[in-house]
Amino acid sequence: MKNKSGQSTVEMAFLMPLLVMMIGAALFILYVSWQGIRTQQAANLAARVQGQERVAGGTSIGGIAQDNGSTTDSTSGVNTDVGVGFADFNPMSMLGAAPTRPVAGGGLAGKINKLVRDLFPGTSETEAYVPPPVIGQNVDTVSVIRKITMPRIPFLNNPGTAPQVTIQGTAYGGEDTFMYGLPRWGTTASAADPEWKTLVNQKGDKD
Amino acid sequence: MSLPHSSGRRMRRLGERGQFIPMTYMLLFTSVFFLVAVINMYMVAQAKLQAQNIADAVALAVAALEAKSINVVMDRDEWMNHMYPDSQINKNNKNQFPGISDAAKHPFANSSDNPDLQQYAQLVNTINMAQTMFQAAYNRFLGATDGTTGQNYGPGGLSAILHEITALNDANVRVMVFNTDDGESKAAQHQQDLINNGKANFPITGSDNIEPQGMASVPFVNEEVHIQNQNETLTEALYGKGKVPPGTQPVGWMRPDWSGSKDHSTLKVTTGAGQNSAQIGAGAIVIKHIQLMSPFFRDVYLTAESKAYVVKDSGLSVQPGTLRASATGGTTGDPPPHFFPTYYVKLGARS
Repeated sequence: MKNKSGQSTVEMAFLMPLLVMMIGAALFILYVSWQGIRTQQAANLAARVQGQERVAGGTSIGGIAQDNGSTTDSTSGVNTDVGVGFADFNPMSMLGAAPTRPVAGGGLAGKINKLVRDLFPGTSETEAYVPPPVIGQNVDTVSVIRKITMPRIPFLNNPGTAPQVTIQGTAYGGEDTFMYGLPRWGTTASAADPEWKTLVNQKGDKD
Repeated sequence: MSLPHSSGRRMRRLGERGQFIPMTYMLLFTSVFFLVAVINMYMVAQAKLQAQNIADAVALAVAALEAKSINVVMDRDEWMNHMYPDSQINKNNKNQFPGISDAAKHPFANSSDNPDLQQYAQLVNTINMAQTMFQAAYNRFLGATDGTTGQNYGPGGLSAILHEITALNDANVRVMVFNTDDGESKAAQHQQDLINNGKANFPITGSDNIEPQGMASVPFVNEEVHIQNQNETLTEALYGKGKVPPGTQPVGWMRPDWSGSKDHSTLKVTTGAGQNSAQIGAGAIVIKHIQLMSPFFRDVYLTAESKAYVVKDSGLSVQPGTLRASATGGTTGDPPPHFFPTYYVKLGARS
């Protein structure tokens, strides 16, 4: 009897760690897959917000540029939506260039980052974030990065050296970068001061 | 006597000794089976999400191009209201050209005076020609089949518009773009055909995977301006009364035709809860082909559809409350004091 039970125990002792590791790996793959889907969902949502706000928001060209993360308030990074004039706005700089990421959570870029962080509660700023979107002429590309630290395997890796798995979800939004490029003949918030007059005056000052 | 005993003991020992290993194998096999199932489910869910995003982005980008076309044309309308600096505009000065919004009631002098009505009609006609050229250029990019063929026409034009969607470089993705109800039906049928013969159609090689289906021009109405104190239209002022060639484009201003009065020029889009109505917009059907880790269901074709529309209230193209049936069919209306070329687009709701 000793012999029989001993054999089974020895088998179990050899195979159990392997089995536990395999089950652990399976669970990790399951978790990464689930996070991959969530990351893509977050990217889709971020792209929609990016696209919609680019065509449906903004009261001034500077405000739109700032909202899109193309320029920032140098002191706080928070969108104030005032005080940024046409002279500060260079549409060509938006073509394919990575805009400046707001320092704080202001503007559209800040809003998207907050939205994504809310979708992954408990994650730090380095574990779930949105890099600056790639601004295109017609369509922008928005990516969401999710970094997952692999569980530490006893005796195999040192504390703090556990490898990270990076998941990236990419989606497309930002339908018309230059829809606001048209001169605004109508009046702005200040009825006595049409936008086109402001633009013409500022252009005259520069020349 | 000892053999059966010995044999039975060996059998019992063999059975007992292998208990853990077969169970482990079974567990491992089941784990691997479920793991493959999970990976397949992940691939399907991921691809479906990507296909939906591509469909949304394509529909919005094409609808935005339509909005841009409307804005550019209407911006020229408003340009005709700013031919003088605002501070110098005198609506009662018969020697000054009026803005197009005020032209009907302007006290034009007799044609012997300068500037006369005919010169004004020539100026407006020149701007109308520029508007028509802009329309044609945008329609060519859209791949509108009633446009003039040439460079950037059809799929090539759409590819130029959509090239920033890098996911369309995937040979396993095909997109059908439409902006009419007729085109939507054609796209749905084509989608079915492609899937039915999937292996022959995916991955796509040697041709463009962006296919316009029943694309039509953005519908515009050319509004005539009737000069009240001369009792003639600008078209008549240009060509002479009774001398207007048949089929001549009216001289005046242009606005988008939201009524769908031109055959097959609009797309039904759900803009709110249960409100499925004719809109100026565009749609896209995307098919994405993936291969699963399965010997039984290897090829899977995921589809997604999306529609976007130009928001009618986001700009102003006609004086509210003045739209009425036109004597020549369709509708007509009065120009607003100022045009607002500020149209933008939204995604339609899932219907």
